[in-house]
Amino acid sequence: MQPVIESHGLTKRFGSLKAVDKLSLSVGKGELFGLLGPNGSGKTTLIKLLTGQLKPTSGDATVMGVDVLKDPVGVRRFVGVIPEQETPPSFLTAEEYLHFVGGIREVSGIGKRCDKWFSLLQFGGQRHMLCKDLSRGTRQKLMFAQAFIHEPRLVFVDEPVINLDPVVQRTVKDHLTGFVRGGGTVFFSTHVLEIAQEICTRIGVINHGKLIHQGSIGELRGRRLEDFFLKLVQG
Amino acid sequence: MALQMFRAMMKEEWRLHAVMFGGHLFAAFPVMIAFFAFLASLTLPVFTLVMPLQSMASLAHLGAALLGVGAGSFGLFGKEIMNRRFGQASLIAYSSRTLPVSERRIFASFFFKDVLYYFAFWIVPAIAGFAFALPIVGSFGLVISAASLPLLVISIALAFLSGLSVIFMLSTIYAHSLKLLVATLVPLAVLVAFWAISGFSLERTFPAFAFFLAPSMAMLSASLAIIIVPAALAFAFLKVDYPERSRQFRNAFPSLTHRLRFMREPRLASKDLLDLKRSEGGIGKLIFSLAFPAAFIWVMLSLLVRFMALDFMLLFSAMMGLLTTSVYGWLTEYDVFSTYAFLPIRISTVLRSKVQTYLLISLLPLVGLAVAVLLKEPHAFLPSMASFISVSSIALAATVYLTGMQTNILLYNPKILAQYLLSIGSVLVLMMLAAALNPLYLIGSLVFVPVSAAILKRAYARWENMEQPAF
Repeated sequence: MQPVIESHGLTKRFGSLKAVDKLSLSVGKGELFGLLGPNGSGKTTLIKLLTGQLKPTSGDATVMGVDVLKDPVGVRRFVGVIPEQETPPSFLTAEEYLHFVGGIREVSGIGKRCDKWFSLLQFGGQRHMLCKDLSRGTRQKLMFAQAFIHEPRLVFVDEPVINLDPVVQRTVKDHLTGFVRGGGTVFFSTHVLEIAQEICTRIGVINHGKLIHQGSIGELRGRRLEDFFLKLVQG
Repeated sequence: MALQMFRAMMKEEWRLHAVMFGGHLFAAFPVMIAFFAFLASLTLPVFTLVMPLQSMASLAHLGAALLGVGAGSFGLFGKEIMNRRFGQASLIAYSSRTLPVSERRIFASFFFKDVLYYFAFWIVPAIAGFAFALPIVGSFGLVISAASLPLLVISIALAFLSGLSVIFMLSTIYAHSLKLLVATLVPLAVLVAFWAISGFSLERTFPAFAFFLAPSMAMLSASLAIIIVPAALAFAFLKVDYPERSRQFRNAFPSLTHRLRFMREPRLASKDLLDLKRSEGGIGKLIFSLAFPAAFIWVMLSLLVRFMALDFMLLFSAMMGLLTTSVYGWLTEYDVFSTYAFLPIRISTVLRSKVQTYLLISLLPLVGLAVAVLLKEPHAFLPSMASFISVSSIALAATVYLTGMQTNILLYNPKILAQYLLSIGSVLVLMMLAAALNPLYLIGSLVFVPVSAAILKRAYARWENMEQPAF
């Protein structure tokens, strides 16, 4: 399988803390890769490193063939990112924010794309509301929409469904699996193991910044992911 | 319980600033205030040539009252800014919904915590700096008795608390109704206008200052009444939730970006303008933050300029150049880099766009200034314009270089503030020396424009290479 994400010995230090420790990883095209790990294990830092939001202390990574260290903006041009904490600008409306992102990403026909996402995630009624007045769930829908607005082939998703209601969770899961079936790739970080077991094709487990396991969901052979995960991180 | 909450809030305030400034540099803040008060006090012998000592004391009291107003105003704007910078900021002040403590008790702790912090970080250091300068100014013939210092501490504290209490009351009225606030402010404005027309007698109308001039129980009581009555009313009718309405807007983005298409990054500029327009205070806060200090500088310079060998408008233009950089502070106030971090955009592009938006907005004070110069001192037109352009460009470049997108946080960092003041101060001194020789020499100060452009270029590279904090 053609790799779209590759990292070798990726390390990130914050002072004396090693948030990511010599992490080597390869994610192939068409995978829905779930990155699992306890709080503070390095999941968000890894996503930030792979999308060029942070510079690694050492090691290297390429995303869709682009060197993350040399061209971080180039990487972010190709991919979509849903950050862990939603940060749409307070004083733009939901619709204006999608226009803003669409403008930065230089996409055409932004009006129609907005309509599609408002309809799919069922928040058209809030399109004229300021982002600061949106509920957390609606802000998360908005961040989901902005990540897909330019129809990327690879999306990084950090805790995507945590504030969403069950109906929209289903829509999001269906969209992600459909996206992968259509040839897209998803790098997905979550605490919610049931979702990972349900939709991921392959998982990686990170603890104390180290990737301690990689494998396909099929390898679990009927075991619960929760039991497997707890054994790994507690062992 | 009340004491426990107060102590927790004191800790929280300390940690909040320690996080923002990185480490414990916040602790150096009172030292810096004392140092600048010391330096400013050293100029007293010169200033007493142009202004009676009593007038300077009145300005110090007025300044303390304005500091109180500023401290209280954070109640109006603070939550919006904090939420933007720290997500849904969860300070103890907002915890009445989750803890079995009344809003009144929480706010009382918050109020007293703020009073104590401002007292320790501003008032006491400022007076200490002044006290250290007394022996030096005394050797220049300006004898001020050290015995007056305790009285000064009390009267300045009274002035600060007066400003804080009045703004606290006004913000409580605002929390109930905007209309009620307007109905309160209009007669208050009439009263101030009447006071201004009838001759600005601060010693008769401002009890804190009157108490400093002639301490008496009557004046102390009057000062305390001005503090206690508004504060008591505010506590009695306390309402923490401001009238936040869920506002809706039609999509202004396409038309605004179209109108701004002559700019390099019309989308970023549109976002900045919408931030300014829709945040608390609207565009009015920008105008107010320029017009109010400009009027103050105008009055001060009118008093001082007859003793200086410089045209009034030359000095005023330079001061306006400095003041206009506050626009850049507003442009960064509601923005955080984490908004852009995951998009294909560089921080240098965001900064460049903010500089361009600043240049666009600063055309307004430039035009206003040009009209004022033509009306008042037309012969000084060219050097005045050059003075404004040079000072504003170098001050902007220094601001962007030193503070990037966190202007109103990093300028509280003592080290950065000192670097800023030294860089701007040295340019201002050079320019004023040149102007004293010949006002036309100020046209040569335009050399600072390409220098500023070079500093800006370095600033963009500097911030590009720096990892951005999440706030």
